[in-house]
Amino acid sequence: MKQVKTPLSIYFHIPFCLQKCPYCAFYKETSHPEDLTDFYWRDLNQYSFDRNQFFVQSIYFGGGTPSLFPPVFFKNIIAQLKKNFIVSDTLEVTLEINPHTVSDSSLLSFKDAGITRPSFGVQSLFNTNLKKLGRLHSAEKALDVLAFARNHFTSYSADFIYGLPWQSLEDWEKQLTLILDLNVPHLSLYSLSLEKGTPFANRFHLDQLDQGEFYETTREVLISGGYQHYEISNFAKKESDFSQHNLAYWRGDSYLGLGPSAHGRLEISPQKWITSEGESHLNRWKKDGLNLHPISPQDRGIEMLLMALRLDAPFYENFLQKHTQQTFGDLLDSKNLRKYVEQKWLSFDKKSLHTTAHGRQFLNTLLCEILKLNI
Amino acid sequence: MKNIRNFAIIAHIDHGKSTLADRLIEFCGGLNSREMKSQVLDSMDIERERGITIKAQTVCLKYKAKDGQIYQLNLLDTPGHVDFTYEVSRSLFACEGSLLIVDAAQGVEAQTLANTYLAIDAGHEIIPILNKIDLPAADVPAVKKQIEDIIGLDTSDAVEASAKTGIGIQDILEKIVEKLPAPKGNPEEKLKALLIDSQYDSYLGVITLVRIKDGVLKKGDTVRFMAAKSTYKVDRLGIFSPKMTDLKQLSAGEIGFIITGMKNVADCQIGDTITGEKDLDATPLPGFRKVEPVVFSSFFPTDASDYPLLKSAVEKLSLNDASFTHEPEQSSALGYGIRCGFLGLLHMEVIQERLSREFDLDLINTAPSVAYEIYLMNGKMMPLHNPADYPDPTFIDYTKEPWIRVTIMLPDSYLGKVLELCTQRRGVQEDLTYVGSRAMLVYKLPLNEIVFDFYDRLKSITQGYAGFDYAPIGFEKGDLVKVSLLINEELVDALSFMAHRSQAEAKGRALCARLKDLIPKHQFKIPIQAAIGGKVIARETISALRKDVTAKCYGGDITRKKKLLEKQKKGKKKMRLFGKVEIPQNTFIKALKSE
Ligand SMILES: Nc1nc2c(ncn2[C@@H]2O[C@H](COP(=O)(O)OP(=O)(O)OP(=O)(O)O)[C@@H](O)[C@H]2O)c(=O)[nH]1
Ligand code: SF4
Ligand SMILES: [Mg+2]
Repeated sequence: MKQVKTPLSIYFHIPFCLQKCPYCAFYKETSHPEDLTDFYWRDLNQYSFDRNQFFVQSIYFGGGTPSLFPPVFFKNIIAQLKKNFIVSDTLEVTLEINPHTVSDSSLLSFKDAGITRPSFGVQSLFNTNLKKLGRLHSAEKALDVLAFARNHFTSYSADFIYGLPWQSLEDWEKQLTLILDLNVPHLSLYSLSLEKGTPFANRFHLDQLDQGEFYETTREVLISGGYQHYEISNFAKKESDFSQHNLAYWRGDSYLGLGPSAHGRLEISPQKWITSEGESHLNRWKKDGLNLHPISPQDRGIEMLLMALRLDAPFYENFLQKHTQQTFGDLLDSKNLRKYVEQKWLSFDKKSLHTTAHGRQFLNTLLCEILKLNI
Repeated sequence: MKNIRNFAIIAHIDHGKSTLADRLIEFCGGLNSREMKSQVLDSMDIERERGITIKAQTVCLKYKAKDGQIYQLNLLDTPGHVDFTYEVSRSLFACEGSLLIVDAAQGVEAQTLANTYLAIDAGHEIIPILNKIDLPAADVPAVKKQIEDIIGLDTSDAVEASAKTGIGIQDILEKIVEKLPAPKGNPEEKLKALLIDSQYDSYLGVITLVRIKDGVLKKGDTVRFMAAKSTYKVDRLGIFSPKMTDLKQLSAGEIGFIITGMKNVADCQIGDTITGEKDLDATPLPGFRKVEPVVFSSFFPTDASDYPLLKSAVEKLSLNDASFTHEPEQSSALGYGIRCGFLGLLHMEVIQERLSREFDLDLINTAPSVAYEIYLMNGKMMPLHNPADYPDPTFIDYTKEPWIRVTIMLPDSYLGKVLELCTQRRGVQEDLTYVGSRAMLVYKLPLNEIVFDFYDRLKSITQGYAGFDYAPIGFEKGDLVKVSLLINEELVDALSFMAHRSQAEAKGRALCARLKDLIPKHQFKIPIQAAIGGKVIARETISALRKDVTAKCYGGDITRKKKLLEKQKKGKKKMRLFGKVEIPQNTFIKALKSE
């Protein structure tokens, strides 16, 4: 009997940075980068599941600043995975890159090592912003790196942040024009959020800033420049440029998270899910590894919905049922659902749900209203 | 009976009554050291958290005095805050003497004065105690002089003590035995007992605290509650030591509890006289002066279906607290609720907190208001407890508002600021005297001007050094208007308020500005307006929300995202819908507080 295999994504958290950016709440250390490969394999072996049921569709090296590590580090990890897993022909391997950590030659070596998709943390094209954000690269360096990537990678991405406390809409509009000229196949454009515990959160308030205005402008400019706005903060030229790895999170696929503060969701047997979370502390993680817990099908179903509705794509009830045994009726408040369908925040055709661009803008409110959250 | 002493501990807030009670209990072995925690008599969570006493408590101690005899000491710890003065006066009726605690580092304060006069009125023998002498700032001679000069009490018998270190505790006990009179009364006579207090316990039902004046009350007796005109069988009786301890009988001079299986809350009237079942023509004991609430506010359940729960919770609480009034109310915006009258703002906050804590109720609390008297053109007077009931102004001849006399004690260096505050609040100065560097200021003020944040303001401008006390002095004519609040063009009764015409516009403007910060943005613009009659006097606009979505989902951390959503939804549950606008329920109180 022919078996249909399930897609699997794997995330590596590489928790080292040269400095701490004052807005960033990710888990990272500024100590000397340490090769944690053996610990990643320890984490991997903590999951007990039948690997033959899966094929690996994407690998993602995030951080932190993973590009502080040499290409051979990634090459070894990719090789090990290929030995132990069935891997897709179109395997996507993303590496987060801080522009100041790479040169033309190192980019080529990363490519040789098996990285198919560099993702550049550009954040801004103006040096004044970069400085205030505490970034170590200049706008010129970022432009150089992107220009080189254009000639050597078919798929790559760039990250930008907008809605900065001191930023005028005009500043961002100027950047958007420059960004369009760069012709990057994939863009992640995030509005700044002030995360509790960061220096920025102590220093700034965003009340005065109308991030909604930034968001609308971003969407209009990029769509008219030929991009698809396929997720709240993500844009791509063509469907083949979408981030396969992030799509796994959004669509509700299984993914493993290896490393400190990494998260995973794995369907170990049909409709039986476990979650994993690495300790957010290097030494504790080294000692204890991942915490694995079962998660109820209802909770996993809710998670799938709250992620899937971020996408400009329908989410099908039969996918939900197949992986969690839940129906829309089990997880959604039908009265509110009807109300928001009428208000055109989303469409609902019995078999699938699809948020509208307008509805996605108020997604948190929408989710609070339509999901049966247990509070 | 000659070996019984009944006494109350009175003082200004925080001068150490509860801590001293701890020491006395400890010294007499009322609790072993494992059971002993600080302020044992502050049994409610809210009392322990805030470190204040709200409800008077009683405890019966056995003390072997230096004369070799064993004495039964019935101690009543009382609250110090001005809102709870009624608790103090009730306790005083049950005893013959008082320990007056004065913080030796702070000196005589406003409630020291007020409570001492209550004790003198009740005919008490008073023992002054200078507490906290362990503090470096303690100044015993100066404080003694204040007690003599300001209150007029002799201090030659005063005890110097520290409730913290235990200095002077035995001296206090000896003084109690020696100086305070034993209760009068006759155990041979027919039963006569005073109902001092009641408490509702979900297991035991109504627990009634009584002081036996004459006769003996035995377990199993049937008794009559005179004012309530009802009879009950006494199932259990005993004392608090401070644990509840069952006894066979209580006799003249003693203070204890009785449990009767009473279900009907209304039957338990504080100050009622309890007699034998058949003793129909007994004369009732003098009861307590009924306290009149001065601040009114309404409670509405966030979830309308909780109204019956709210109603029964309020009834149960009023068992423990005879001083607040309640009546059903219906509001166009908020549905069914209960309008309550309180003795002050702290009292209101305490009741609100107990309702949500002990009964797990989610409540909306409307802006507090005082009672007005509205004189109508037809010659009738209409009492107004709720701005929502304000009649059509064309029917109004004139309006009267309640005034109070306020006594403020403060270090004279803050005098200028305090005078300014009183003037701002339409005050009329009556008196200003000095004792050393302490000033005593007497002002007449409209109650309306102080209910809300006067005490907070006073504390903040004097860095906590001023204390105040007040007493009602009646109603006076005033140029008063009702200011209505409109949110998104809809009248919100619960935010409307009464104000003096000269201040209406400024208050309306300030309220609109605060609401602008308190009401979250919606997907549409929201105008906020204050109006007198049809005339808009202030306006603000809340701009429309244009985005509400978290930008980034990091490394598949969905757990956090889900938690944030749950938090947002929980916040939403605490909102109330007014037309199309959701308003967080704490807005009503917050909007009117702090300037
Ligand atoms: N240093 C010192 N502190 C004391 C002494 N007695 C009480 N305190 C402290 O003073 C504060 C107030 O004490 P309480 O016993 O709660 O005062 P209270 O008079 O019962 O207060 P209310 O019931 O709120 O009126 C507490 O922090 C006590 O620890 C003392 O003799 N010396
Ligand atoms: S480099 Fe990236 S991960 Fe490191 S501190 Fe800055 S934003 Fe955070
Ligand atoms: Mg106390």
